[in-house]
Amino acid sequence: MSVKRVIFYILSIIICFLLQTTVFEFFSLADVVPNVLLILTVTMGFIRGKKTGIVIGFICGLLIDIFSGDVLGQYAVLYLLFGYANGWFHTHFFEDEILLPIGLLAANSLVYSFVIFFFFFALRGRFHFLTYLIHVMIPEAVYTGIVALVLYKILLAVSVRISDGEKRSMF
Amino acid sequence: MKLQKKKIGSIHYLVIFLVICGILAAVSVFAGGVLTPVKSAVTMVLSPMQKGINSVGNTIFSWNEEHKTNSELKEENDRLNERLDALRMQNRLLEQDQVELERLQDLLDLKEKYKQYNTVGARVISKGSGNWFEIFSIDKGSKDGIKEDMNVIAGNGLVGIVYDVTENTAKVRTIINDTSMVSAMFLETTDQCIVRGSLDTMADGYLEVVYIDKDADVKEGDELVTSNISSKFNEGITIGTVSDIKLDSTKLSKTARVTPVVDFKHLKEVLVITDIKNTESLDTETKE
Repeated sequence: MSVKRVIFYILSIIICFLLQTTVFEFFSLADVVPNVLLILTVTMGFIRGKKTGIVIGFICGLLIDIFSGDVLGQYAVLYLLFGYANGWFHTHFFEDEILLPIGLLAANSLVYSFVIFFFFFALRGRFHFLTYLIHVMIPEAVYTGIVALVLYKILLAVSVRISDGEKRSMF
Repeated sequence: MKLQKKKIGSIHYLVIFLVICGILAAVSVFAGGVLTPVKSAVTMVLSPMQKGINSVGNTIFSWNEEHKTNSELKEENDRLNERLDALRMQNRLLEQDQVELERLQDLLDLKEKYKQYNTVGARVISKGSGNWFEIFSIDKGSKDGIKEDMNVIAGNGLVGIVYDVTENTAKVRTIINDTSMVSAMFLETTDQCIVRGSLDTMADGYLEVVYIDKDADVKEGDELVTSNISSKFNEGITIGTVSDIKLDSTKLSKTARVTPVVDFKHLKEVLVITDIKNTESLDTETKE
């Protein structure tokens, strides 16, 4: 792994984190913010494989834990599992394919919402599933898909560029 | 060398990082203080960036605002002037009341109870990631004298409570957060009740009020303030106005809806009350 790649990872994590958590919501639509950190984790797991997915997911989740959680590690576990799970799809990764990753990202957002709902709401006895589904889950999934379209392309382009550089330097 | 590299598969990665997470969780649950320097360090690096982005974003937003049409502004000006007149009138009446109040307080020697709270202004620099929890960070921390359990208000009403402090930032849990419960009372009748935070109902602009006494003489439009028996909230901070009072299905208490006076969607600046309520904790189970 080259230094360039490490810098790329660190920068993209920081930028995504800032975009998501600053008060001025750049992407906010219908009171929903797309989960940019999830997009990053899933994308990296998808185009680079399980190991990268795990590491990126862990760092993203840890940042969320530090900034908003009581207990460190809960979001870290969640995100790294997402990175790992999406690493399974790495074998289906082709640079030109766009439908699979976007579908994957929207589906991931939905699954993420279900997990959050189950652990943080249903277990505390809040069962208004339908309102959460309509007000949070579905808008977030759709919107994440739309933002993912742009973000995925950018991340892929940079990643491919770095890979090319790495290959060349080997010879 | 090659053989060794092959041995560390993705499963190993997974296990290693899961173990790290487990250790972190255990440490933060059983020895939370150990991790505070780490948290401080991370927030110290990232919060200036958040501040920067906020100010850039706000500049763009306010530039947009400035380009409102002339007629719109005129209309607004007229409306505000009317409002100003009405408020001036009200203010005069209130001033008179204030004088009377002070006189009566002197009489009753109750001044302590109605003292003004000391506040510190703070700017909201980041909000919780995702759309589920209403929490945010402010740009004042332990360095500025912020402590846990300090109340946070904005303008004219209660916003929430500080629940975690680092050197330069502090985290605030709002009253509309799903995990939040605030013990409140009706300003006029001092009937006690509980305001329960919920994103579900907040989507329609109100919060649920539960455990109102079934014989309480309350009506719609009454003002709800923080209770004198609340363990963490200072007394008498406005929460909102009550509507839709109903008898509970159990017939033992009433429930109602309260519309918060604070606009939780547009929080930019807040005030932190630096007076912490001193109470002996009778019931440590209750979380506010």
